[in-house]
Amino acid sequence: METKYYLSGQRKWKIPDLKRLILWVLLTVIAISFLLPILWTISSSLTSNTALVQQKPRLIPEKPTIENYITVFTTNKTQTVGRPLLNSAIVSFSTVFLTLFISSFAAYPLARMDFKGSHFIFILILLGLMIPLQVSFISLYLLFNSLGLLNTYAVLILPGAISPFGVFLLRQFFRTIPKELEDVAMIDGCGRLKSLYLIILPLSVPALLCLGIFTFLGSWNSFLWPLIVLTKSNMMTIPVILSYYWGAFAGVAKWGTLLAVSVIASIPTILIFLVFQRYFVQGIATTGLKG
Amino acid sequence: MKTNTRSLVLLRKKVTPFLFLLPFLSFYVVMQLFPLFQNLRVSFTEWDMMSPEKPFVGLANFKYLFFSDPFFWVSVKATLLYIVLNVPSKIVIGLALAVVLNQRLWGKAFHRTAIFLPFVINSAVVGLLFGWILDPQSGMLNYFLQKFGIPPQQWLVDPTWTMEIVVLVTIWWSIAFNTIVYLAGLQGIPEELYDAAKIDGCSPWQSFWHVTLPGLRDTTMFIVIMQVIGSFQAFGNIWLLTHGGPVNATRVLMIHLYRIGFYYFRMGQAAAIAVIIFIIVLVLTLIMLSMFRKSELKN
Repeated sequence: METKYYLSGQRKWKIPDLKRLILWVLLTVIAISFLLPILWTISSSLTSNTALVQQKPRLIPEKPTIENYITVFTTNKTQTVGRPLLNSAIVSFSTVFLTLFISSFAAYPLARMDFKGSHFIFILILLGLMIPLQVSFISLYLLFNSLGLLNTYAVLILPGAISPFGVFLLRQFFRTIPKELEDVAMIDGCGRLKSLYLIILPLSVPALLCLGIFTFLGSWNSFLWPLIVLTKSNMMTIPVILSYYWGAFAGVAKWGTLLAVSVIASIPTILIFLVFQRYFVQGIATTGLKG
Repeated sequence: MKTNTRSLVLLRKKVTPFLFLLPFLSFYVVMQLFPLFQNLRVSFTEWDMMSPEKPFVGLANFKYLFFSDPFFWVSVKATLLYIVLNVPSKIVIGLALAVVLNQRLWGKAFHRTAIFLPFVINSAVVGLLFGWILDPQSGMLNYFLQKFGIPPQQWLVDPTWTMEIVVLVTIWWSIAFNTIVYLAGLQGIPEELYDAAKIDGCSPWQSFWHVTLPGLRDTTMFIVIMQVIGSFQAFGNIWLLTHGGPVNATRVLMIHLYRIGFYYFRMGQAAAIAVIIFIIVLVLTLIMLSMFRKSELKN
C-alpha cells in the first residue's frame, strides 16, 4: 500500500517503506564504499612492508605492527617525518592567525566607516576573489627567489595569509552587528581599535571560526606552492615530504611507509572536519568556499 | 588653535580606515596584484633562471607553445578530457546524493560524514592512496578482480583508462562540494511549490522533474563554472597518481606548466601557460557573473 502523508520537513512525500529501505541500503553501501579507501589505507599502514607485498590483501591486518610508523619517524635514509610535521603545524597555525588578524582589520573599516575610496577598495578585493592564486605562481616564485626567501617559513605563510575572501566574508558578517552596540561603547570612550576587539570580534566568533577552519584546511593541504618553493628537506611540509618519499623509498619498502605518512598527514584535517562538521558544511553551502 | 584640532580630527578620520587596511592592502598588492602583471611580463621574455639577461622575445613563447611544443596541445586535450569526464558526472552524482541525503533516512549523520570526509584529505594523499589500491602487483583492486575471475590489469601503466581512473578518484575526493551546494539549493526551493505540485497530482518523480530541477538551475550554473575553473587548476590529485603519465595521458595544463617551469626552468614559457589559463578562467568568471546578473534581474 502506498501511503503518502505530509511531513513537516524537507520533503512532502513519504516514500513507501520498501522503496525507503532500498534507498537506505543503497546509501549505506555508498557511504561505506566512500570510507573503504580510508580504512584500507589505515589497515595497510599497520601491516609490515613484506606482508603487504607477499600476502593477500586483508582489511584487518593479520599481525598489526607499527613498524612503518617507527620507520618514518626514525629513518636514516632521508628526512624523518617529525620535522615536516612540525613545519606543517607552524605554517598552518601562523597562516590561520595572520589571516584572521589581517582580514578582520581590513574588513572593519569596509563594514563600518565611510571614507573616500572605500568603494574602490571593495571592488579591488572582489576582483581578488576571482583570481586563482595558481596563475601567478611563476612570478610569485621569481619574486621570493629574488628576495632570497625560498625555503623559509615566510614563503610558505605569507601568500596564504592574504585572503580577499576572508575580508569579504568578515565584512559581510560585521555589517550584521547592530551599530548601536558600538555607538554606546564609543560614548564610553572606546576608540575604533578597542571597539573592534571588544565588541565586533567577540560577536563574530562563528564567522572567524569558519574562516579559520577553511584557512587551516587550505594551508595544511597546500601542495603545489610548497612543492615549488621548497628544495631543502628540513623545510618541507607534510604533503611535500610525501612526494619526496615517493621517489626516495623504492620497491618493497615503499607502500607501508608511504601509507603511514598519508595517515599522519590526514589526521589533523579529519579531526577538524569531525569536530567542526557543521561549520564546514555551512561554509560551503553559503559561500561556495573551497577547502 | 580650534581649527587646528578640528583639522586634526578630520585628518584622523581620513587616515584611520587606511591604517586598518594597510597590512592587507600592502601584502595584497605585492603578492597578488603585482605578480599577476609581472607574470604577463615574464611571458614575453626568455629566461632560464641562470643567465643574467632576460631578453624580451615578444610573443615567441606563445608561438612556441602553439606551433612547436610537442606537449602543449596534448595537455590542452588532456585538460578538456578531464573536464568533459569530470564536470557532468560530478553534477549528476552530486545532485543524486544531495536528493537522497535530503530524505529523512535513519543514520543520516553517518551517511553525510562518510561521503563528505574525503574532501578534507590532502590531494597528494589522495593520489598516493589510490596509487596503492591500483598497484598492479599488490593492490586491492586487482586482488578482488582476480577473485571474480578477471585477470589483473596494468592500472596506470596502460594509458587507455588512466584519465577515467583519475576522474573516478577525483569524484570520490571532491563530490562533497557539489553535494553540499546542491543540498543548500534544495533547501532554497519553496515548500509551496511542492504543495502545488502535489495538489496537481504530481508523483514524486514528476515533481523532481518539474519543481526540483528548475529550482536548481542557478545552483547548477554556479557549480558548472566553479568546476570548470577548478579543473583548469587541477594538479595534486593527478600528480601523485600518475605524474602526468602514462605517455602523457594525464598531462593536464598545470602539470605541463610545472614540468616546463620547474624541471626545465623555462620561465617564459611557463608564464605563458599561466597567462593562457588566466584568460580562460577570467572569461569563464565573467560569463558566470553576467549569467547571475541576468537571473537576478529576472527575479
